[in-house]
Amino acid sequence: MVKVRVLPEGKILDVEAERVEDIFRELGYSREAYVALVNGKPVVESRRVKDDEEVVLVRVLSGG
Amino acid sequence: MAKCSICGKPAVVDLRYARRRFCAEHFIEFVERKIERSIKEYKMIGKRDRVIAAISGGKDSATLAGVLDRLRDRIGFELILLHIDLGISEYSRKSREASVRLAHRLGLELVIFDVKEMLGYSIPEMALRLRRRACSVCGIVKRYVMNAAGIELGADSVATGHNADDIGSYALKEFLFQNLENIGKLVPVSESIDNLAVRKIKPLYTVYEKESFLYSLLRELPYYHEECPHARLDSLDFTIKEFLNKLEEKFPSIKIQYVKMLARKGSNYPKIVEARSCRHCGLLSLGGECSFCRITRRLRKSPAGPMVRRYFSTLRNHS
Ligand SMILES: [Zn+2]
Ligand SMILES: [Zn+2]
Repeated sequence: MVKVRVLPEGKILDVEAERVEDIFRELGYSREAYVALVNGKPVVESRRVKDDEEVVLVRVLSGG
Repeated sequence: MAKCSICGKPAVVDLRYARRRFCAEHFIEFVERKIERSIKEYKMIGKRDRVIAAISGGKDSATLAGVLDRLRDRIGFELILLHIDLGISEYSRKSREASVRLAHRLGLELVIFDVKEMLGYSIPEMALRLRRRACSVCGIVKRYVMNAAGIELGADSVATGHNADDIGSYALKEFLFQNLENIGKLVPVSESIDNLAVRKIKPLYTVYEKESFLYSLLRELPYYHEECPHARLDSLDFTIKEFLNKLEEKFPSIKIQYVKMLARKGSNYPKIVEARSCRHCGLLSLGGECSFCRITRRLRKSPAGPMVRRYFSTLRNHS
């Protein structure tokens, strides 16, 4: 299980995922609207994630 | 491991629509080249121009100022930053702070217009007294201040940080309401109208919102990534953006093709031809009195347009 923090809402979700792309698929978040950061840095979707890594999805959309 | 399409180092960004992956350094270069190409193709900035970049303190402002700063020597133009403090509580305080840090980081001149200090009321206070939506008052004030600053500071153009997603979603919204004259305004360059309206440019026209965020992040530029408290996630604007992103997921590159077509064909939409001068402030109006002078006259008895123009002309004389 990977812990994923979603910003700006701040909620934390547990996701069964081996790679970043699994997180997007599992949560149904748009890859256009959210950027995945692992340990504070952007990563490509094929990157593997370990359970103890800090994973954040940041919503990039603004204005509405 | 995914590698950068240019240098082979580990990639941090995957751009599906461009079929390329980049390391941080080459992603930054990619965004800068893309903006430079737009500036040339749409003839946004010429040599020796004076450009005012309007910055809110968000990611798009940071990208706008960061890229223009790197291009100003290459193209040879002068760059001044303008921040409008809207007086929307914590949000405005942090946005202003980020703008100051951004200007400092880039070593650029920053002009601040404090709405509450200048007009006596913040945007939410104005909205309350006028019984109008904060976003509509905010739009009127921002448009007016940018135009007045551009005219009085002798700018060749005022640049804003609208990205491809902003432009595409505004155009689609206006289309849904059939406000076709408003679509015509969403072109990369709106030409000036002598002494009434400054020229406006949108250098991030072909930059996706996600790219703008990643550019600011990877260059570690100061920005405040928070939503204005008046913006709503269930608003039509926001929903249209999400809809365009759904299309993009299924048909990568559709957003960029869309804005590029809009850039090419946008001038075919009907225009509002009747440009008149406001009887109070002398700037652009449609009915003899501009919206800014009308709302400030209702608030303060006297229209504030002339005072705003004087504020900027005094700044010019001092610099
Ligand atoms: Zn590279
Ligand atoms: Zn006026």
